[in-house]
Amino acid sequence: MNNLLDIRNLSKHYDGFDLQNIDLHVPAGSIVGFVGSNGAGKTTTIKAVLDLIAPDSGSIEVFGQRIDAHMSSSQTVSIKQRMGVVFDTCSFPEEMNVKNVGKLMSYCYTAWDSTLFERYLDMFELPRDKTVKDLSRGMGMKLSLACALAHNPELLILDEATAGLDPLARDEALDVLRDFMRNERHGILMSSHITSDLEKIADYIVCIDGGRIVFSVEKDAITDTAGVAHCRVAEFESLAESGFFAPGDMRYLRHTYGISVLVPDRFAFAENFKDIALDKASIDTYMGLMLKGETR
Amino acid sequence: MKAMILSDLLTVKKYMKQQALLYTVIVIALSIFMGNIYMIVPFLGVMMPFSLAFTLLAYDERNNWEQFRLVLPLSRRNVIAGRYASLAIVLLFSIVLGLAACLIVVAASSFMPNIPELFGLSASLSAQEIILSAIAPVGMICVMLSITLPLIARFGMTKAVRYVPVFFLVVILLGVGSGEVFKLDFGSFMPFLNTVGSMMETVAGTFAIAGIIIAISAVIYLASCMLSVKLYAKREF
Repeated sequence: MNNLLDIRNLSKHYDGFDLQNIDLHVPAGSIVGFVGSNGAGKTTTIKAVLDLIAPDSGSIEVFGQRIDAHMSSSQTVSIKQRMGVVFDTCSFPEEMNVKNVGKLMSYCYTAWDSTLFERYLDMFELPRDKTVKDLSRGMGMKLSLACALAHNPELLILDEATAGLDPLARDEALDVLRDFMRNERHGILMSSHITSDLEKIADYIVCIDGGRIVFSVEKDAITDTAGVAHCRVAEFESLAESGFFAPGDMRYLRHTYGISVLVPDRFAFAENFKDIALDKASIDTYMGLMLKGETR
Repeated sequence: MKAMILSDLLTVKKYMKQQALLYTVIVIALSIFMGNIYMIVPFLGVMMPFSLAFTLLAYDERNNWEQFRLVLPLSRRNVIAGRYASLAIVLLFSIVLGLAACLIVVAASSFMPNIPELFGLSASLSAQEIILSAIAPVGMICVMLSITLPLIARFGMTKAVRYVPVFFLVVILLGVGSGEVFKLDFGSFMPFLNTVGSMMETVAGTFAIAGIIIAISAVIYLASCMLSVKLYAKREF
């Protein structure tokens, strides 16, 4: 399978923060959810992909072409022609109205499709004469999404794009993204705190914390296979000594009334430990146990 | 580069119309009050580009536009070159507006010869002085932007505004104190100044001086653009 985006061993140093050895890939036909707490390094990683910052080491390839300081500006521009980007705020000049934003985009993108842009504006009910500063947060996000999609990109990069949207607007945005993914040659890298959105739409989940990748798994491995066992202390001890987990693989979190244990395969676990309470894992609980859990 | 020019002009379109009307009315009134038609073009040619340049630079830092612009398929070179081009267009527009305002005053004075203040403005109209008044803002704005824009390309508007006044102050102090600092003999410039003065006595000579000023300003402006491109290429967002 072709990767639309390949990040290998990406590192970047700032005072007080280091991005270290980041590996991340977006295969064609996939949506990669990029999660992590505030300040974990998501936006720094995305900025490196978008050539807004220069990495200290590592490599970034987009559409098979390496992005670095030696790349000519025409090559960089041709890569950007095939990408659509949405940030967490509507970043167009405040004084421009929606119609003029479309006009500006038509000058930027050679493959700009004004009919498609108009269709998105109708779908999102965006008034053409309204200025960017008068758009609500949700409307601004929809305008950004319309602009990102209306030049038929192959790769979408969304940095907290659905933050600040109400649930209905988020569902609308997710429907548009699903429609975008009908083409198997497309891909999305989507950073988000709203893990419920990623559970609905992502194929892979990559988690970053303190500038390092903590895990990179298929989403279904979390939501369809993994589970969280809720143990009492005695149950926890017998579980730890049972040999079900390899040494060092058992992740758990102590609470006031019990201990949560991350279970990679809840079906196998249920067969072996019928008396221990077990829930499906969500991206949130999985992240919590991977980031804050102890190991044994 | 077209996208960048369009972006800038669409951003300031509303302000440009407002300022064009406001400044034109103000300067025509001032010129009648002060009895000086030659202030019209320099006033418009300096005020409008100056204020619109800083309006554009301020809008760059609002809404994350400056960062988002770089994820569009615009090279950093085109962003800078487009900015220099759009400010040059604003300057040209301002000078044309100023000349048009002069024509309005001259036309008004010929229709109202019994108003002495108005009539006095066109009575002793000099082509040389009109040409020089149109060229003065070109030189001033080109030099001002040529110093300011590279600083902003390197540091961004918010940081650069701390350094720009200091830079100008140093330039002015060096200019004023250059006789002492560089041991310059200003008397040695007299023959040159006399030549310039005698050229300005004819229209052809004035045009020649205007052409030289435009050429020097253009070279400085282009050199500044090239410097800004280099500084902007390395900047991180």
